[in-house]
Formats: sequence, structure tokens, C-alpha cells
Amino acid sequence: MKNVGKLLLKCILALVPLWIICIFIAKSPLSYLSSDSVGAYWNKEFTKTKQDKYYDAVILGDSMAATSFMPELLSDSTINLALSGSSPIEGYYTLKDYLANNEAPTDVFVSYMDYHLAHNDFTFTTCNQVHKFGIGEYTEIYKTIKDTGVTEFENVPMDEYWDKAIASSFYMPSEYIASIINSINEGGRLSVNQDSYNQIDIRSGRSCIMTNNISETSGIKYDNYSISPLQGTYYKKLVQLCEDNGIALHIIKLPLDMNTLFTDEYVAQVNGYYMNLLNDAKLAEFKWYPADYAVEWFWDDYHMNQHGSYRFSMQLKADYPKLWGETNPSATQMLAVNEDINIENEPAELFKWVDEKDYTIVMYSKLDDFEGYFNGLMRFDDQELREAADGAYFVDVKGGHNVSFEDGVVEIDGNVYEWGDYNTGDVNFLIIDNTNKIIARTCSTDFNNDEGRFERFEL
Amino acid sequence: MLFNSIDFLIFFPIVTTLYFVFPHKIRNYWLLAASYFFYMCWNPKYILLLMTSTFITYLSGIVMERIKQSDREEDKKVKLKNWTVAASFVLNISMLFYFKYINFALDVMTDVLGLFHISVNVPTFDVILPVGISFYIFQALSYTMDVYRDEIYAEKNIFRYALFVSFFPQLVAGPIERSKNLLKQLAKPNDFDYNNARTGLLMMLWGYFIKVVMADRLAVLVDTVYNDVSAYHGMELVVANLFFTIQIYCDFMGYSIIAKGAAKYLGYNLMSNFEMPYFSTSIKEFWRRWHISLSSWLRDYLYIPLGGNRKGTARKYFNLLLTFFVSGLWHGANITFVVWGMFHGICQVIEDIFRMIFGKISDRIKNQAVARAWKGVNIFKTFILAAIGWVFFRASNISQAIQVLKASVKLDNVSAVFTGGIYNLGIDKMGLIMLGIAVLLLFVVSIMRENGVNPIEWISSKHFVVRYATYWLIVVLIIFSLDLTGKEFIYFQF
Repeated sequence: MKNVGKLLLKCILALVPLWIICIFIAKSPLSYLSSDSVGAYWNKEFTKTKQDKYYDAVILGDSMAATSFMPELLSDSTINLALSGSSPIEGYYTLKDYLANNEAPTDVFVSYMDYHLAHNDFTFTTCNQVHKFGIGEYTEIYKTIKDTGVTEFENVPMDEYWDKAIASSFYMPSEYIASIINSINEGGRLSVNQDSYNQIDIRSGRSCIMTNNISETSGIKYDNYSISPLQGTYYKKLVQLCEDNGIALHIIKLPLDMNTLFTDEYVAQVNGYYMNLLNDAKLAEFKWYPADYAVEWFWDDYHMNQHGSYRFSMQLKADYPKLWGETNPSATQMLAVNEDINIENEPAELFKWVDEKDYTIVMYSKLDDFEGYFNGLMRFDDQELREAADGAYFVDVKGGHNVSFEDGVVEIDGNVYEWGDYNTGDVNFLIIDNTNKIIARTCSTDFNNDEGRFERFEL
Repeated sequence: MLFNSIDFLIFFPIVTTLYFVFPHKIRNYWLLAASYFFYMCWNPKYILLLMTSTFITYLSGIVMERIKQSDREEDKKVKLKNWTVAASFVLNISMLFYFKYINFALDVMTDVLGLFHISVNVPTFDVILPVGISFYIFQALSYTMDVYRDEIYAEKNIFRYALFVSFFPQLVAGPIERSKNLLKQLAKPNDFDYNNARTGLLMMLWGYFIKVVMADRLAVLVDTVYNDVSAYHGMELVVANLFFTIQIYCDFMGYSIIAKGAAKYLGYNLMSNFEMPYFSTSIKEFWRRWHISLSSWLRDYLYIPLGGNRKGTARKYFNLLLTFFVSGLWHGANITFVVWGMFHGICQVIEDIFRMIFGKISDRIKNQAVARAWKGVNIFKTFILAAIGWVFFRASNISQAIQVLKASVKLDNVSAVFTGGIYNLGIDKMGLIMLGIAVLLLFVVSIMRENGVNPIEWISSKHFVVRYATYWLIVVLIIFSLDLTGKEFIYFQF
């Protein structure tokens, strides 16, 4: 027995590097996770923790949902837990985890694109990387997969399922070392991942942002709607979970661009499937937004860009006024809008983001009749342009602020903002977030006489 | 269940702990059950094959023993024994033939008939090769032969014999154990022994290092090239073949060391399968150092019974070529393996003819430095010949092998490979550094072993700091190579 102890001790000592790496894997995931997995990690941390705040609306779904539902525009008590590449499997466990630690929301919005429902697949590797599942969940998924007769998913054969599940559960390096090596090769990922994590925090979980690039293709023809047995099973479980917790479930089929074509057969299949799925559900609805969005509002065939997401979120506000009616954006929401403003490339769109929020946009322009340009190409709704000094103008969106400008210094209600590069383009912008009392963005643009419009902002 | 899998990481501690916890009486039963479970992890159905082979050879042993002890005339006894051993061979080889060679044989038959413009519609059999079948059938047959030759008594305890055939550390890829070695050891279950356990675990650690850090990393580059041979040429192919020469060695030796280590932990000594083969000065010596358990099997049960070198030069060469033909065929049901085997046979015939004509040149060199240089030249020559042979072993067909050999000759991109081109072959800088450290470590250990130093004893005698620094270096390198694991051992397919 003495010798067994001695051998055991020596084994433990010889394997010290292994223990160190296991502890590192467990304690510092942001040091090695790939940027794609940070959202899933934030999501897991959020759902497995008791939140200080109550959220009345929870968004679930794939990257299309993650992009389209913008909590910063909807309300401060909306959380977007949609995950890129995910399916109802992840969605079900995300909600289950959230409910295990938090009070049930009044509404859950779910949206999955067709191809995430058609395949017997889910983000197994990412879920393992971020420790989304415990042994109970692994067992439940395994049984369901076996029942549905699937032999592999995400290119992982079923006979490797438990190897990977166990290795991940015990933080074994085999599952993480590729990420760690990549991280070393990239010179470390901690600071980049930490920034991404904080961004997701500010954006209330919205982990997928598609910028304002415009899709180069459009006009997909949809003629078959099929749900794989595995996804179908979890879709049902998700519906049941909402019913059991008294949550109003809204299954949303997102709008697509206006060149999209749905065959009659497809329409019948979709409606038939959801009628069947929600047959016994008392609190659930299926809502299909028509394919009437401009192609310019899409990043690719499926994902809306920021412009599309803005419009869709505003449409949701109108469609669900009780849930997302008029609210004053919180300081965090304002920070998220600041991020949206920062990636806006169209001068004409800039003023949409600030609308009805406590922003002041100061502009400096030497263009003759700047007010004419503003009213024709920038102004949104009833925003009023006022003059602060010679060539300096401002829009005080909410009104009531005292704004002055002199030699690159802007003063708003006694708060001073330095604006060094105020005279670099035809029109120069300084956008101030009055809630957080910070500069959201400075940018400039030139007027393109040939095309009669302002040039896009350089990002 | 692969040695480099999570399953084995769970299986091994449970099996070995319970082995030592259980009373002596049931330890072998436990090991047998564990070994069968180990085998069934691949395909439960094929346990029947293992059991059948075990039963046939067990029965043949018992029958031969009875014949020996009977009052029959000696001639009759020999005849009956011959029939028994023949029956055991025919049944076992038939199983092997069906599961491993049936489709290959039919293909060859179709091709041969095609030469005479005879077209036949030959069906293809839907057979999955049972893992390790060549190993355990050869092991079981060696037992039959040993009983036949009166070298051992037949084992009466069927469970012990079944354990001999199926002992999990060496079941699926050898070493092909001899009854004189392993069966005897199994007669007496072992108690836990600290030294055995420690040595076994260190051997396993070294085996994992060889497999994971070296073989699997080299495989990345080799597979990249061989998956699209036409995209590469010159030095890239030379590097790929050089790497495969090391990969196959590390892959198989890694497995053999883990197997030996796992058995050692339980207190059993398995035979050595490798003795630094790339330090051989001739192909003949290479085969005394490479896959020793198979080459000695073929020598003892095929080459010598054929007459060996006792029936004249021509017959000796015939026997040699036939033995290497069988060796090639044993490795796989593909003409590439046959060519590989014959290549080694022909090399040995040529070496022998040279030796006959010129005598043993090394004996005539008196100057030590010249002798050492001559040895170096021969080691290099043997290494190159082995590397050329491996092209046939690795290629998926003969035309691919010829394509590789032809394209390798044009060394038109030497500088490109050494100025970063190697990174296009699927290996990165960090991987290359790790590989470099690993090759250096392996080389040092090989030199030590070549000079009669046992590396495990050597490291054990060192100061705590040196000892653990070495262990940690090995562990770190293994951990940082774990992204490559899950790769099967090459010899599993045989």
C-alpha cells in the first residue's frame, strides 16, 4: 500500500505540467478561445448565473437572430441569447439554463434559418469549448441523437461523442490545445477576447454584428422546408419549456430581401409545420415576416446588416408595443448604440441611430447652404439643425442642452469636449452621448458632386 | 479502443487496479474479460473470430498432446500430428484469407483472366477487416507449431490460453508473442510491484511521446503530400518520404512500447519488437531489428521449415523471396505491400551475392576511423533502401509509388523547401520545433540503447531535478501535440 501511494505521488508530480494546463484551461478561457467562441462563452456565463436584473424578453436563435434583434433599440430588459451557427438544441439548453438561475421572462422570441433546422447538426465543439453542457445534458442529447438515428454531427462520429464530452468536462487539454497553440501563434488572445466579451456585455448578449456591407447576391428560391428529426425534437422541447414556465413564445421567421421567392408548396410546408408544432401550445405564436426588405439591408442572402437590423428592430417595437414601446434608453443601451454609430458608414443613416436618444451631434462645415444639404440628405424625422458658431451647427436630439463651439472645443451643459480634427472634410461630425457624457464618434465626409450625395465614412 | 484515446485512459487504470485488488484465482479471468471487452470496442461481432481462432488452436494443442501421450506407433503419431497442425493452419488461414484477402484475391484473379481476354463478373464481398486479425492468428498458430514441435506442452486451461491469445496490450498490433514467453508468465498471476509499475508507466509515457509528438506530427505532412501526390515534386516528396520513414517507425514502435509498458505494469514482460532498426548496416540486419516478433515468426515458422539456407544457394534465395513475399502480403491485401516485401527480399539477395563476391569488406578494414566511416556509409545506404521501400508501403497503388519515386529524383526545389516551403506541407513553425526536439530526444535515446544503456534506468539514476525536468519536457510536448491525436496506429490495419 505504501508503494502504491509512492507511485501515485510520483505520477502526480510527473504530470505537474498537465495539472497546470488543466487549471489554465478551466480558469482562463478568454486567453485561448477563438473569437467565434467568445459569444458562446459569454452566453454560458450569463445563463448559468443569477442576474441582478430581470429581463422580460429573451431572444433565442442562430446568427440571423443574433444580428437582427437589437436590445439597444428594443429595451433595457431585453437580452439576446441567440448564438451563431446554433440550432434548437443549443437554444433549448440556453433557455433551460437561464430559467434554472433566473425568473422566467414574459416573452421568448425564437428564430432559426431553414438550414439550421434541416440538418442534424449543432455546435458541439463550441459547446464543449465553453462548457455549456454538464453530464446530464450530454446524456440527454446523446439519447435523443441515438433515438433519431443520427450517426455523426459536425463531422464528429457518434462513437467519439463521449470521448469529447468527457475530455471537455474534465478540461483535458486534448479538446483545447489547438486553441491554445493558435493563441500562442497569434501572440495571445486575452485582450482581444476581453474586449469582445465586454462588447457583448454592453450589447446585452448580441454577439453577432454584420457591419453595413451589402449582399452581392439575392433572390433565393425556397421550395422545400424540412426539419430534421433531431432539431424537430428539440423544437418541441423548447415549445414545451416555454409552456411549462408560462412564457409567451414567439417563433419568428425573419424578413428576407424582396427578390426572395417562396413557392406555394414551401409556404404550405412552413405554415403546416408550425401549425402542427404549436397545436397544443396556448401561449405560442408563429409570425412570418414577409420578404419585403431592400437588398441593401442585407449582409448576405440571410443576415441583415446593421441597416436591416435597425429597421427590423424598429418594426418589432411597433409590432409589440406592450413589450417594446417607448422607453428611455439606459446608459448601457446608449453605449451599445455608440458602438452601432461607430460602425455606421452612411452619413444619411447616422441620424437614425441617434433619434429620440439623448445625443448631440455637432457639425462643422464650410459648405455653402449647409442647412440645405442637411435637410435634404441627413435629417431624420423632425430633428432640428441649429447654429453654434460660424460654420458650426448642432442637432440636440432630445433638446434642452446648452451647446457652444469655439476653436475645436465643444461645451455642453458645462461639459467640455475637445474636437481637434473638426475641419478635415466638407462636413465634420462630433457625436456626443449626453447620458454617458462621452464622445461617441468623430468622423467626416466630402460631398460627391457627380453623384449628388455624401461619401461614405471611412471605418 | 486506441491506446491514445480517452477510453483507454479510463480502461487501463480500472483494469489494472482491479487486477491487483482481486484475489489471485480470478485475476486471469478478469484480464481475459477486460481483453475481450477491449477487442469488442471495435466491433463486438468480431469477438467470435478471436474466440474461434482461440478454440481451434487450443483444441489442436490438446489433440496433439493426446496423440503424443497415446500408445500409437511413432509414424502414426507423426501423421496424426501433421493432420492436426494442418487442420489448425487451414482453418485459421482460411479465416484470415476470407476476412483480409478475399476481395484482393478476386481482383487479382479478374486481372489475370483479363490478360487472357476472359471477362468474369466477380462479386465483391462486403467484409470489414477485423482489427488485429493477422496478429492474433499468427500468435495462435505459433502456439500450435510450438506444441507440434514439442517445444511446449499444450495448455490445458482454456481460459489461460484464451488470455494468451487475447492479452489486451498486444492483441491488436503485437508484439506477436510466443507461447514460451507469455503463456508461461500467465500461469502465475502477479502481485503489484512498484518497480514493474514504475517502469511500465515510464515506458508508456515514452511510447505516447513517440506516437503523439512524432508519428502523428509527421503524419500531418506525409498525409498532406500523399493525399495529392501530383501537386508535389522533388524535395517535397523526398521530405515526405523521409518523414514517413520516421513516422512508420515511431508509430509502430510507439505502440509496441506502450504495449510493453502496459504489460510491464501488470508484471508481464513482452518481447522487444524494435532494436534501433535504422542503425542497421544491411537490410538483413534491418529485419533482425525491425518488427522482430514478425520477422522471427517468419524465420521460425516459414523460412526454416522451407529449408532456410540449408538446401543450396538457389533454394536459399527462393526461400528468402517467398518469406518476404508472405511478409509483404501479411501487411496488407494490396500489391503495394507485396512489392514492398519483395523489394526487401531482393535487396537481401543482392546483399548476399555482393558478400559472396567481395567478402565482408568491414572485416578487411583495419583502421578504426575508416571502419566507422564504412559503417556510417552502410547505415546510410540501408536507411535509403528502407526509405525507398516505404514508398511502396505508403502509396495507395503501384503507379502512385512509381510517380513518387520518379518525381523525387528531380531535386528541383531544394531551396524552396528549406526556405519556408515546408510550411506549405501542413506543418507550422511551432510543430517543426517540437518535432526537432522530439527527433533529438529519440536519437539520444537510440544511441544510448545502441550502446547498451537502458534509458529508463539511466534517467532513474539522475538527480530529482534532471529526472522531473525530463518528464515534464516529455509531458509538455505530448500535451502540445494532443490536437493531432485520435490517429489510428498504422499497424492496426494489418
